[in-house]
Amino acid sequence: MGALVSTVVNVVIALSVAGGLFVVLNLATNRTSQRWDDRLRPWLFIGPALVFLMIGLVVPAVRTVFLSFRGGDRGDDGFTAEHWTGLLGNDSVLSFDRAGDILTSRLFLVGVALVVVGIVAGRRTAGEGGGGRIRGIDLGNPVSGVALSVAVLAVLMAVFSTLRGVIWNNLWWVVVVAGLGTGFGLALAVLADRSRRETIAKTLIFMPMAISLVGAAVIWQFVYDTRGAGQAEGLLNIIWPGDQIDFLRGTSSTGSIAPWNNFFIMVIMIWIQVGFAMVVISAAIKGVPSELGEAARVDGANEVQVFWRVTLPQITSTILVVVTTLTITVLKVFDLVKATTGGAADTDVLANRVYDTLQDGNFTTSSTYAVMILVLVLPIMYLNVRRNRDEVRR
Amino acid sequence: MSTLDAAPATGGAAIGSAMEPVGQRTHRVLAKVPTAVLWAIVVLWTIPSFGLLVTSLRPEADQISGGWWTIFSNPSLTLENYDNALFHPPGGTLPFIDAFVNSLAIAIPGTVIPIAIACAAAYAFAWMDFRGRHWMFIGVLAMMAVPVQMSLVPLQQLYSGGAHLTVGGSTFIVLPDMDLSNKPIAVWLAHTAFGLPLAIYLLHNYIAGLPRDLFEAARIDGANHFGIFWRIVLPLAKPAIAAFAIFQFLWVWNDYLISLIFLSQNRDASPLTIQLVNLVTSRGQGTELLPAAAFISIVVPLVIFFSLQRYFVRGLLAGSVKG
Repeated sequence: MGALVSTVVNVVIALSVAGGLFVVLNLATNRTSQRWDDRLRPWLFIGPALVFLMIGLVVPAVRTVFLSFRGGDRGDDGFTAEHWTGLLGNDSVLSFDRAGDILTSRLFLVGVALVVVGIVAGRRTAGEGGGGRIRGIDLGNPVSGVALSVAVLAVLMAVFSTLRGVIWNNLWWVVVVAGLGTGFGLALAVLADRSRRETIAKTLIFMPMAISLVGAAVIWQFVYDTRGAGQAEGLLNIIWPGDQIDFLRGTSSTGSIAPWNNFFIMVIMIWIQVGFAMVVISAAIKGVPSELGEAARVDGANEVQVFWRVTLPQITSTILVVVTTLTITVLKVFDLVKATTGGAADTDVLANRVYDTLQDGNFTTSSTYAVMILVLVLPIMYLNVRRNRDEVRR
Repeated sequence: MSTLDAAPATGGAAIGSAMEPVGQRTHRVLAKVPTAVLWAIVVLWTIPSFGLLVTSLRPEADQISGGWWTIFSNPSLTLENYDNALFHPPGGTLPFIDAFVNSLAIAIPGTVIPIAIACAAAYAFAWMDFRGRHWMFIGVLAMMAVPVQMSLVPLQQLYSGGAHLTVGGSTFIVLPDMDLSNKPIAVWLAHTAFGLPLAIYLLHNYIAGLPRDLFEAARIDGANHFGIFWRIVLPLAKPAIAAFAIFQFLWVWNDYLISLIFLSQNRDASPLTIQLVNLVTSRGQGTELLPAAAFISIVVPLVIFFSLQRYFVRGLLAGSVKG
């Protein structure tokens, strides 16, 4: 308790001093001429924020990029690109060894089959109006829309689950969590929209969002556990028909499910994030003017057509926001991996490498991994800033 | 089918009336499918947490002999696990009541201080004119998505050795070594910086949306920027402040990475998340306490979530882009 009291007292003192200083400086500025007032006042208001942003974010980010190009553990040995060439050439980071296996993987074949289904279905209704259309394929047709989206997911999953290395693993996380999370979120938003007691259902699905990733890891450990000394088997191993599998580490008595143990860690993230996707998309669906649907119904459209050709095109930008948000979250994933496998059993990700190398005191390698995350985030950052800037201008 | 087969016996007229209810019934059943699917998913989503709650209340022997569902054949509940986790954990682990207090000692300043700083900055960005305002604001937006990993190494170096700048062979001390490493202040100072871009963005959006007339009227009454900020903007911005406060508090409370890096050497100051993972990795000793410990760590977020859900959702929706 002592720690809390002393912290609170310190915070109150610090805030009073800072607040007092702020007030005094403002009163002092009031006494200056209008010209000086206009010049000084903005800096009084944004000054503290700028100091924190510079020390905590801007300068460190620049320094991290700088360190990634320096030699020696602490960056004392001059400029070099050895970390970049070394890490990118390292099989545990980025390996192309199994690239040939992609074409024969089951997921890839399923993906190709679905592409064919999607194209055939899309061609048949190409004449109908509404919805998106690419090269004469009607995406507003439910069959073709679903088939093509699932096909893209399947092919990407085939690629990233076959190629190994932490970068591929991170991208696999993005595809699974951003793709399936958004898809389930959309489905749940539609389902909940038609249901009574909608709020209760949404609340329960949304609840995992409040829980820490570490707490979620513990919750799911009790789902995935195998029966062993001092522990009972988890629910999934009760349902699972075959030999017991340690879903997190991928081991069982008959062999290994690696790298698909990654997928079971990703499931935890989906469990958490689906509620977010659902709430955002649901709000967007409710924002679509009902006149649009009414008009389509008068023209003879059924509910499925109204959804695919009227509602869905209206909420595309919201869906994109959800996808980009989940992508940023997932690229930094650390807690879940650390708390479940610690990065062992083929589950390592970039953020865990950042931590491990930092713990080893290898600051330059740690910085290089951090910049790799930044590089993957940059395209999303650009999209976000562009979107927000448009909003600010408006 | 039996209805249809039987229909001819009762005559042609009956077919129509018999068909009608069948069609309606099929439609009624089909119409319930989405709702049934929804509730099936809700159950599926709730089971893992529910299972952990039940497990946390079972005695050690019962936990080992079977999963939480065996509670129905072997009902016995106890609060012993909570008592042990809070006050008498196995050797070497910090009692969870202390970790709970440590979490508060990090999360409270980590929430209050960024709000205070961001309110002032948000007002300036929204209602003051100064050079570079537009570009600085875009910079703040960009910083929202920068991964925290980009700050870890330099902040670690800053906390344990200060900041130096070497120009032309001579070294200047930019910031002295303040020996903050492995103290709670290192964690919440970092959270303050990391939380600011989102706080400024959220509060700016809200404050910029306040009606212009309000400010002009206050101006005419002789109020200056500081007076307007203190007496008009802060009281009006309460909903936005509440939304961000809840988001940031949960973010800091649930954080693991930043505490792990800046505080993990200091066992007595470490928060719940670190203690929980320590208990996970030291499985074998105190395993039976793990579910109870997990619930101790998520009870505050759950209470906030269920009692302040409206603000929570608002903050979360607006703040989902945080780096």
